[in-house]
Amino acid sequence: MDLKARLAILADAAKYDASCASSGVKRKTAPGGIGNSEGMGICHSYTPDGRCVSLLKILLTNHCIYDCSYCVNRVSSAVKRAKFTVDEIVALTMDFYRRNYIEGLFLSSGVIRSSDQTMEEMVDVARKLRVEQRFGGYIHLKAVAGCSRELLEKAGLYADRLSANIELPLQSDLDLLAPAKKQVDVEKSMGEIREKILETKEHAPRFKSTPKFAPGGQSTQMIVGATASTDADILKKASQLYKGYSLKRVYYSAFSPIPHGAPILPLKSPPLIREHRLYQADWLLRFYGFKESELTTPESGNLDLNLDPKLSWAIRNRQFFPVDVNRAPKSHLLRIPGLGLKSVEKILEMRRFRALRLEDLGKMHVPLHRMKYFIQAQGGNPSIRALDSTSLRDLLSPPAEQLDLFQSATLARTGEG
Amino acid sequence: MREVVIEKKFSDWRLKARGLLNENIPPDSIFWKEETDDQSELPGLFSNRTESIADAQPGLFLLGGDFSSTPNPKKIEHRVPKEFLGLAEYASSHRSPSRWALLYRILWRLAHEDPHLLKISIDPDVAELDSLVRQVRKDMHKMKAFVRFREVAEAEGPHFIAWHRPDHSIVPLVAPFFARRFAAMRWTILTDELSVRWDGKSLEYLPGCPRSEAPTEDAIEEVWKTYYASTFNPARIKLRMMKKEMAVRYWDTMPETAVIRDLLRDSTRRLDEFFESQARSAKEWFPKLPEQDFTLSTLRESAKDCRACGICEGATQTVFGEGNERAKIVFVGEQPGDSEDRAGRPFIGPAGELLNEVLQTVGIDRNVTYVTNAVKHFKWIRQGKIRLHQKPISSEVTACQPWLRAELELIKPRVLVLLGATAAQSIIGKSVRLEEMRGRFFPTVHSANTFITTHPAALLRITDPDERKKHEARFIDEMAVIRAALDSLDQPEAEVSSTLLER
Repeated sequence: MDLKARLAILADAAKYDASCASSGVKRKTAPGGIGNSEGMGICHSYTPDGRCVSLLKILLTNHCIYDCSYCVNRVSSAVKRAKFTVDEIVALTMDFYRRNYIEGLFLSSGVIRSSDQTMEEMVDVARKLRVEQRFGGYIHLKAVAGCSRELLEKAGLYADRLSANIELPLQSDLDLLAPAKKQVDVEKSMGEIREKILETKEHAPRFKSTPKFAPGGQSTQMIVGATASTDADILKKASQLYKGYSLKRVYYSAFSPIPHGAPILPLKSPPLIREHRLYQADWLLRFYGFKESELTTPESGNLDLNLDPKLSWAIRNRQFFPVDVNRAPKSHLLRIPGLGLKSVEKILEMRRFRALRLEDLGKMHVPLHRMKYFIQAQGGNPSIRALDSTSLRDLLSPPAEQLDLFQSATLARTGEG
Repeated sequence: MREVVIEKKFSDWRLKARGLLNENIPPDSIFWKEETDDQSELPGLFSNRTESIADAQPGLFLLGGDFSSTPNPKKIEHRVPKEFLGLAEYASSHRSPSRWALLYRILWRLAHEDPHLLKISIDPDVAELDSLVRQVRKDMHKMKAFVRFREVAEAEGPHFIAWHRPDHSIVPLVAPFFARRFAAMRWTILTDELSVRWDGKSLEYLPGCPRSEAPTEDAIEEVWKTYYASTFNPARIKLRMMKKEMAVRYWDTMPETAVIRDLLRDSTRRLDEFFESQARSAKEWFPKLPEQDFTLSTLRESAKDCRACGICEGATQTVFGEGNERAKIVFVGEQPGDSEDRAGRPFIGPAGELLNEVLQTVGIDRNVTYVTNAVKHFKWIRQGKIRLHQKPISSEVTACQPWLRAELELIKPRVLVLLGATAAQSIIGKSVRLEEMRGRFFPTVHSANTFITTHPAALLRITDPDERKKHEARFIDEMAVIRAALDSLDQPEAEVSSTLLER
C-alpha cells in the first residue's frame, strides 16, 4: 500500500481522539533546527466538522489485539489495516511542518504484540524528531495502556504532552464495552507521569541541566453517550482525575457512529450539545470555583441540555442573587450567568474608578438579557423583580427550534448546525 | 486646524504626537493625513537595518512610557501608562484611516483627563482602541496559522515561498515569529503590500508583489489534502464553525480547502455506509421480555431464529448451551462441530467425548456442569465429502456474544472454564495468547474464578502420538486443579481464587 493510502487509513483511525491542543509549552528552536512552541497553540486549519487541525494526528498502526467496542480499531472490526514505519512518520511530520501546515505531531497507536513494543516504536519516532531532525515543534504521545514505567519516562523526555485515555467514567462501563481495559491501569500510568513531572519540577531550579519532562503536562479523554453513565458520573471522574493527577485537560468526546461499529453500542450518537455542556461544566470546575456536586442534581444526574450549566445553577440557587457588581467579591461575580473570566476582570478594574450602572454593562460584550435578572448595579435594576418569579426559567430558555439545530441528525447531514 | 502628515509608521506618529502634546495642541484641532505614496520608501525603510527577530516590545521607541523626552526645552511631564504604547503600536498597523486621530485623542485624554482611562473598557475611545487591537492581533494570529509555504528547488538549496493576504499591515509584526520558528530554513513570505525574506541569518523586507509571482505547486500538497480529508469526521458537520475560524477569504492560498466541497458532497454517502456497515448483534433476537424475566429456556427458544452473523446460512440449527441451570461450573467452547450441528446439542462429538472422559478421570460430576460455546452456529467449508470446521472471525464472535453473556448472567457460575482462544477472547475482550494466560485462576465480570485452558478438539488434531499424550496429560492436570478448586469452594468461606493464586 502506498504512503497516501496508509495515511488515509491511519489518520481516519486517529481522528476520534478529540485532543488537539498545542499550547502551554515554551520550547526554543534548536540550533540548526526548525520548530518551536511559544506558549500559544495555533490552529492551522479547520475541517467541515468544525474541528481544528493543529497537529498531524495519526496512528503508528491500527492493528490492535484489544476488542474495545467503542473503538474503530478493535480486533473484531472489519476496517482495513495499515502501519507506518518510524522513518515515514518522521519524514511526514517534517514535510508538513516546513510548509507551516501543522504545529507538530500527535501520535497514538493500536496495540501490536505488546504494549511495550508499541510504545517503544512511538518513543523512537519522538526521539528521531528531536535528536536527528532537531525538531522543536510540539509532540503529543499517547501512553499505551499498560506500558512500562521506563518507557513512559523516555517518552516524557521527548514529548511535550503525554496522555492516557480513561475512555469511560466507570469501571462497570469498561467491563461492558472493553473488558480487558482497567481504570486502575490507566490511572497507574497517570500516576507515574505525574510523579515524574513533579520530580523534574523540583530538580529544575537547582540543576540547570535537568531535562524537561512532558512540559505540556498530561490529558485524557472520556467518551460520552456510549453507555448509560450520567454527566454526574463523568464530572465526578473528571474532577477526581484533575485533582489526583494534576491533568491539564479532560476531553469529552460525544460517541460518534464509526464504520463497522460494534453491536453493543447505541445506534444513535448523543446530541453534540451534551458534549458542549460538559465542556462548559469542566470550565466551571477549573476556573470558576464550582464543585462538581453543584452542577447536577440528585434527581437527574445529567446537565440541562436547554440551559448552560451556570445559568442552570443560578436558577436553582436564586437565594445567592442578586450579586452587586460594584461590591461583590470576585468569586461571586464569577457565578453570574453570562459573565466570563475576562469580563469579570474588566469589571473589577473599572469599578475601582467608577460605580457601574446597568447601561454601562450593556456597553460590554456580555449577554445582558440573561444577566440582568441576577445582578444589582448603581441606580437600581428593575429586572431583579423577576428573580423570584416562577416563570424565570421560561424567560431564560432559548426558543425550542434553536435546540433542534443541535439535535437533529438530518440537519447534521445537510451541513448546518 | 493643523495638518499632520504621517508616514504610515508607528515611530513617526509617536514622534509627532509627542511634539503636539508638548505644544498643548488639542486633538480636535489636528487633521491627520496619511502619506499615500509610500511604496518607494518601504525597502529603504528596513533594508539597511538588521531586524531583531524578537517581537517588538512596547516602548521600544520610547522607554518607560515617558512622553516628555528631550526635544522640548519646556519639559512638560506627560507620563502615560506603558501599556498604551504596546496597544498603540498594534492599532497603528490597522488599515483604519482614523487610527492616528484616535490614538492621539486617547493620548491627550490620558495626559489631561484620566491616567486610568485604559481601564474603563466601556469608554467609546477605549472600546474602539480595543477593537482595532483585537482585529490586528487576530490577523497576526491567522497569518501565523494560514501561511502555506511551497518548496522551490534552487541552487543554494530548497527555498520555501508563500503568498499571503493579511487584512492589515502586519508583516513586520509577524515576520520575527517565522524567523524564530523556521530558523534553519530559507523562506520568503510575499504579500501585496510588503514582502519579507529570511536567509537563515537576517530578515530583509522587500516591496509587495502580486499573487501571480508566487510558486504555484508543491508535490506534498496532495499528501496534505489526503490527511485533511481523512481527519474530517462526516458524522458531525459544523460548517458555520469552520467558516468562523477559517474565513473564506483565506481559502484560495490554502491548498487543503480545495477538497472541502467534495468532502461535503460525499459525507451523506459515507454516513450511510457507516450505518450499513454496523455489525449486527444477537441482541436483536433476544426474547421480547423484560430482562429480569429471561430464563435459559426463553433464551434458547429465541436463539433458534438468530441471524446476527452469516454463519447461520450454512448451519443446520442453532446449538445453544445445555446442562445444569444452577451449575457451579460452566465450560465454554468455540463453536459446535459437525455432530453437534446435526443433533442440535453441544459437546456430543469427538471433542465432547474427550471432555467427558477427562471430567470423569478427575472426578468432576457432569451433573453440576453446564456446557456451551462462544458461537452458537457451525461454521465450515466443504472438503471432499466432509464439512471441515472453520474458525469464526472476531466479528462473528462479537455478534454472538450477547447469548453467551446472557447464559453466564443467569447461571453465575462459581468457576468459569474457557476452552481455547475463541472462548477466551469473547469473555476477556482482547485477542488472547493461550500459552500466556492458561492454567491459572483470575477474576472476570462473569466469574471470580475464570480459568483458561486448551480446547479438547485441539488435542484431537495433534497427530504425533507422543506429543498428544503430553498435551493430554497437561489438560488432565489442569482439570484436576479445577476439580480441587471446586472442592475448596464447598468448604465454607474459602475463596478459591486467592488460595490457588498463592501457590
